[in-house]
Amino acid sequence: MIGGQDTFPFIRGLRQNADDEHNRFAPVILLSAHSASDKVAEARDCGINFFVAKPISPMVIMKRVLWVAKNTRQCLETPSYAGPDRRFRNGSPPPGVPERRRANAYRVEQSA
Amino acid sequence: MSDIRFFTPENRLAAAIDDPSGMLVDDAIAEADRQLALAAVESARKIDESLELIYRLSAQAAPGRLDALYQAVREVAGLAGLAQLTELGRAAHTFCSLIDLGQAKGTLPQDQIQVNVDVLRLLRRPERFADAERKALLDNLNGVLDKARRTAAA
Repeated sequence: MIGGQDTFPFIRGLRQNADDEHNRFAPVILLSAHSASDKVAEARDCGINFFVAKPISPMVIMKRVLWVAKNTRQCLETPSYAGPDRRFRNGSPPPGVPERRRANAYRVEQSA
Repeated sequence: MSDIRFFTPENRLAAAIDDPSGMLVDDAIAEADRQLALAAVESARKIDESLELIYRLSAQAAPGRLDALYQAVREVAGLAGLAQLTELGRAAHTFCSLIDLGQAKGTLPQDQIQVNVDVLRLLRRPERFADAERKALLDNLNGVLDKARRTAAA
C-alpha cells in the first residue's frame, strides 16, 4: 500500500499520466516481503524498474538506487504499457529481415 | 504505423547522484542503519501482534482464512529483518509461499499450516536454540513446501 492506495494502480496511474510527463517515467523500486505468484507478473506489467525482496538493508537499497540511476535502458509506451523496456536479450530480426551473419554470407557468395 | 514509442527519458536521478550536495553515501547508510535500529522494538511489537493473529487464524476454519493468514504472515516476513529476527523472516517467507500454493488450489492441509505456525512460534525466540537446531527447523519448512509444490504439480 502507498498512502492508502493499492501499489499497482498507483504505479500504473503514474506511468500512464500523460499530463505529468516530468514524473511519469521516474524510477520506481518496489519493495515486498513476499509476492504471490499472480502478483509478480502484475508488478512487471505495471512498469516498475526494480523489484527488491525483503529483508533489505540500507546498503542493498543504495545499490539498487545506483543501478537504476546508471541504467541506460530505454522506456517505451504502448496503448497498454508505459515504463522501462524490459527486454534483456535481442530477439530474432523482424519477419523478412535475414540475420546479419547470413545476409553477409549471401553477399560474399554473390560477389565471388 | 506502430503505436509503440521508444525513448530515453531525462534521468534526473543520475543527475542528482552526480550533483555534489547532501550527505555522503557512507554517512547516509550509517544514519539509515541507526534509524533502523531504533525501529527494531516497534517492529518486534508489530510482529507479536501479527503472530497472535496467525495463531488465532490457524486454529479456525473460517472462509477467507487463507487470505487473512497470508496478509499476517507477510507482515511478519516484512518486519522480521528490522527486528533482527532473520530466521523468523525466512520461515514466514516460506509460509507465504505455501499459503500462495494453497490459495491457488483453494485449500491447504491443516497439518502443513500447523507445522509452519509452530516453527514461527519457536523462531520468535531464536536465542533458545542452537544454530543447527534453527537450521533444521527451516529445512523442515522447506521440505514441507517442496512436497506441497510436487503435489500441486502432479
